[in-house]
Amino acid sequence: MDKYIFLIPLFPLIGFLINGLLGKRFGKGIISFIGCMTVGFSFIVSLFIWKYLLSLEPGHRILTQTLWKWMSVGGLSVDVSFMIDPLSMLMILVVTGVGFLIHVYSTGYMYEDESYWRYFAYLNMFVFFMAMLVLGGNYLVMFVGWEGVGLASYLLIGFWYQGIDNAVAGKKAFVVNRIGDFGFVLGLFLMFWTFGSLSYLDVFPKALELFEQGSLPINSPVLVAICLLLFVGATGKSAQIPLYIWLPDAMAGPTPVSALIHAATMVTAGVYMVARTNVLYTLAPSALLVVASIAAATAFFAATMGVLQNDIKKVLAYSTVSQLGYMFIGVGVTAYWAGIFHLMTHAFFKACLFLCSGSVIHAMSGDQDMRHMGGLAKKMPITYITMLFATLAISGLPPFAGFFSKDEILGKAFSFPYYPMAGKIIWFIGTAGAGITAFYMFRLIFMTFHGEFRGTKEQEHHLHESPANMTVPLVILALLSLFGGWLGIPELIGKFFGHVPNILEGFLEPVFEHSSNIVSQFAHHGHVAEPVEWTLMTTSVVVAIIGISLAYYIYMVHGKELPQKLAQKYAFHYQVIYNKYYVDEIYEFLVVLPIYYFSVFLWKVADAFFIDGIGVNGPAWVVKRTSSIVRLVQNGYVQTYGAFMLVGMVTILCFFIYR
Amino acid sequence: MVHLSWYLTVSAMLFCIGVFGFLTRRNIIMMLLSIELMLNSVNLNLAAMSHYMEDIRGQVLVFFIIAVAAAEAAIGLGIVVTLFRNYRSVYTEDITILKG
Amino acid sequence: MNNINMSFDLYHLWQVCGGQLILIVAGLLLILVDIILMEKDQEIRGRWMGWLTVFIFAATIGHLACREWDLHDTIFMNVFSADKYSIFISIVMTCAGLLAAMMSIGYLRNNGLVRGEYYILLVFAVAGAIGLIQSVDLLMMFITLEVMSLAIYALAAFLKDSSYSQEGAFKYFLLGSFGSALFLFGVAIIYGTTGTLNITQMAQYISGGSYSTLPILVAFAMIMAGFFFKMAMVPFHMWTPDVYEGAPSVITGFMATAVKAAAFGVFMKVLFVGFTPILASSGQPDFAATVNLSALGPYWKPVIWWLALLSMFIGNLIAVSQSNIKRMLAYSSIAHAGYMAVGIIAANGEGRMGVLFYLFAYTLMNIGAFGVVYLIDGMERKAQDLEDYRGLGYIYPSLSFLLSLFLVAMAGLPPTAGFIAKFYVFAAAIKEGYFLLAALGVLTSVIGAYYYLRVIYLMYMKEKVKDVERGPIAAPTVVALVIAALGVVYLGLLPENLASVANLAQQSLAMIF
Repeated sequence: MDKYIFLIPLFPLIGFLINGLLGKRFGKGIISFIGCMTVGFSFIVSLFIWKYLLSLEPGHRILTQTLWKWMSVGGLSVDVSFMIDPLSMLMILVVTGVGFLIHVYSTGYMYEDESYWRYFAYLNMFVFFMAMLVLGGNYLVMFVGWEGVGLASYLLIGFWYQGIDNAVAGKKAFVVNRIGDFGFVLGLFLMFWTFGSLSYLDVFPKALELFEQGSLPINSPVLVAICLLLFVGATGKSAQIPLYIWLPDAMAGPTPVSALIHAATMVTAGVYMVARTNVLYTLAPSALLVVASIAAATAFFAATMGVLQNDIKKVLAYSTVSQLGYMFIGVGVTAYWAGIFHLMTHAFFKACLFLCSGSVIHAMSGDQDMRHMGGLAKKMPITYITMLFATLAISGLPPFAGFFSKDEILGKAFSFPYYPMAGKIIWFIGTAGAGITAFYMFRLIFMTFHGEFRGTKEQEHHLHESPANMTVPLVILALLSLFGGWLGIPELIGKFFGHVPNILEGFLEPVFEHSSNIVSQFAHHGHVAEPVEWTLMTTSVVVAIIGISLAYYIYMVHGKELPQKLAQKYAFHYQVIYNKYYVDEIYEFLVVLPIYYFSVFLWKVADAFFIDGIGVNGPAWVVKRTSSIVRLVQNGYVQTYGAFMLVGMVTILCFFIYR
Repeated sequence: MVHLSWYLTVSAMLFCIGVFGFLTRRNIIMMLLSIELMLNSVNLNLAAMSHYMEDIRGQVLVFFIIAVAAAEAAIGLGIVVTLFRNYRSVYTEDITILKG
Repeated sequence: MNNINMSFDLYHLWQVCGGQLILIVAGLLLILVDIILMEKDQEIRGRWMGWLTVFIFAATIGHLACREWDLHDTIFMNVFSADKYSIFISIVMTCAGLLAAMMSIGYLRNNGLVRGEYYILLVFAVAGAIGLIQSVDLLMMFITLEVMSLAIYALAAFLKDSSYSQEGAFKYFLLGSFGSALFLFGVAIIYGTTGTLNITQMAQYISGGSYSTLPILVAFAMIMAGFFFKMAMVPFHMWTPDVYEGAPSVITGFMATAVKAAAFGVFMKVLFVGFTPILASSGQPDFAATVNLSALGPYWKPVIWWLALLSMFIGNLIAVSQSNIKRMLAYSSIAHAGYMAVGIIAANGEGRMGVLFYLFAYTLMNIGAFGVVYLIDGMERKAQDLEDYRGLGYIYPSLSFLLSLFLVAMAGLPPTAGFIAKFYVFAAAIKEGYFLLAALGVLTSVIGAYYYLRVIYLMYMKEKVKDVERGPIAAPTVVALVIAALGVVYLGLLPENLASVANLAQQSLAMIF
């Protein structure tokens, strides 16, 4: 079966080439057929390989395929090779499966677009590079995919290039990702320097061997440096503080692209990479602490920023940043499988959310402002139900998928084996963030689907449910948002249902085996007592319910008068503050206002000024300024040029003599 | 007999004068002459060394350098002529369209 | 002076210097052909001269690759040597000449410049470059360097009515002569000190222990300065942007590749054969030698470390604020010189192999890029501003796609030849512990990506503001572009074949007589 791995990336590549080179001459039917079927074939091949993988002994579930020797230099030999183990298997199933659904959805969503062929060519190219990233048997092949998905994302964000903002957003994504890649490449250099290889099957055993020999102690500086540099790459690709800023802007691209690239797959590449590198990270606990702390901060801050957005896609964008934070908390507290579990469930419910929002935007003729929506539930029932499912999942209510994965992460964070105290803080922040998540997600639901319609008459007239090729993927994803979590039912709950096993943890176990051994060897006792576990679980559910109730209270009970107040931006916040009962006022003073102002602060000051300005535009500005100053030396006088040559030579000479 | 170091000193001085001329004169023709001066200082150097080492190759090299310098002057003057047609000037400060 | 055998063996000469001989004889014949065609129609004349030149270069490549590759021989008392190293770089330069000649057919027609001497000069330039890389003797190096340079000065000035071309050529000429004079003074000092002009004999003198005497150091610095000028390393780079902007686009592509290949090739030869020979202590060649026995290493390594860093930084930095695409590519070529120099610093087999690979990859992508530039230009300087590239992706999709490919390769993104080339040189440097330099190099390539991809961004994500009408597309140019593009992709996917050949080439550097 390992002979067929190459087919998975090959099909989308063929699709890209056909659509890219000839698509202009094809009809839309052929383009859609090629675009969808190539990804569909990849999914089928993945399923077959999965079946084969399951037939193997758990310890031997590694398939490799080497296509050709890529290059060899300085004792380093790199092959173009693929590796499938349970981790990459799961990832490729998600990528091709969700990818296929989104391709199908796109046939409906993008049907009117004149560059239909270009869109599908880019989308297939993306799937190709994503498959390379996931399936690559060494870091260099992963890097090819890593750069490639960045390129595809850049092209798709700027797909509607007529809008200047879109192109700027594409450029921003690109610049930020280059900064991340810089760290990533340095990490690879350092890894090559330390281990003399870049292949997964060489580096990790070598690291373990050196570790057992004692020549690579836990937390050794070089290892921490490698892990942190790789994590810099991950912050770029997976939108963590401080490099997350490109993701909200990336929403300028078509909505299915946001669903596929900027929610379900590409942005999770960083999580995958950290999970893939789990052996090295486990050996570098301080790097893990950095990962987990940044992740917790991102999860919380992004959630608070989501509260304020009125653009339906922006809400989802910030929520993606926040959920990515949860995944990184998972991998950061050595609960690698939980991070990957959340990655999977998130792919389901977030793809569903984005596609639903696309359906809404489609119905609203391109309007994305939630203040113009309302009461859409009656007009688009399927979209409403599916979106509600996904929202319940992201809010973490049982028995939806998000509950199991998020709870697993938070539970594991509470018992962070390396740094128990930090773990408790991360748990607290994460739980608070979960509450806010439930709040703003239900705010979205209430503002969009409930109440009265607040848009123009014309928009109201056009409201319609989307066609079947858009709703069917929605339904599938909604069902996955419900049942997907049942793959990882914790032992605690499982024993009530006749010892349901935790399928996913068992499946992924071989990948993280060494890490768990190291953790159990070095860290404090990692397991919490059963009552504590129950308490944690209950807490997160209660927090979610509080968030939802708050949203209901503010946007449903008080939101009746909303339409009249819409003229003023953010009017309802003030309205809520001045008009209501005394209890409300205290309540809002204590809860809503701080969150509101904190959110404004973060959005306007921290985000726009510090991170956007100093983090991204800053370096670009410095480079441009320096450039325009340095170029003045080149003044056109031939004597100046000659003088520089002479000075250069004399400097070399002086160095030689006075060395 | 004149000691070798005298030749070398003269040659080094010539070379430095050439470099100085190249960097200070604004007239292209003068700059070309400065380069000739530099090349000739090398010739002097080589001839003297060749003589003192009793080795013929240095003087062979001198011949080649003279030939190359002639070719160089031919190309150089050709460029100066067309340059003058375009700019109506042979001063380097006028010939600074390309910069930055 | 071990064997003075002055008998002139013509067959031996043909064996060792076949490439040069073909080019020189063919160049002379081309003059005759040009005279014969003088009366004919411009169109016919240009086509004949162009195709003949293409044929000559192709024949030379064939001869070099098939007849001379396995040779290991010298002639004229070790003045020229034929070894895999020289032949490899000769092939790279002749390829540059071939691609340039193919593009020139269309270029000259578009600019109404069909004149035979253009091709003749091109042939002589390549002949000089091959002579330069084959020479083991500093005297011959100077002469062949001048043969190459003089031809290129004339080519750079080829647009007689363009002030830009004239100004560029004038600067190139003056500074080039200045650089040669510095180089020559260094040679004279070497001669006076060691009594020889042959770099292998010079090596024996230097590794005999007197490496750090003042005259040797002065000569070393001056010879380095002469080569750095041709390599366009900061601070000897300042002619580059002006000349590249002014010269005819195809010639710019040729200069940026063939001349760079020649300069890097001969510099590495002088460095690793002459000043810091890579011979093992037994006197036998050491193929994998990473240790330089001569103690000059600590002298030149820091120098090149700094110059490489400066070249990478300044080249990439100034390129950011350029508005003319040729000028931008000129600054990028300075940066590329810096990247290649990183491979020299490593001073190991992998580093030298990486530089050779880089030269080949760079030749393909750079000439390709200039080919597209001239096509979009139509007439020289009609549409060279970056602003003219707005929205071009939708007007000329295939040209834009090719340009994007070449630029992506220059930015060093996988899976193109540019990525592999950068990877080789950086990996070699890291292996020797130059981690900081590699890290800074990667940082500069982040800046580099910005301006390369800005062109792509303009082409695909902006709407056009001005009607740009490209010139008529000539078939040979298309063929050359496709060859370059396929080469860039092929070397990105399967670099091992070329790399192993380059490795053989760099090994033979240790065996030069």
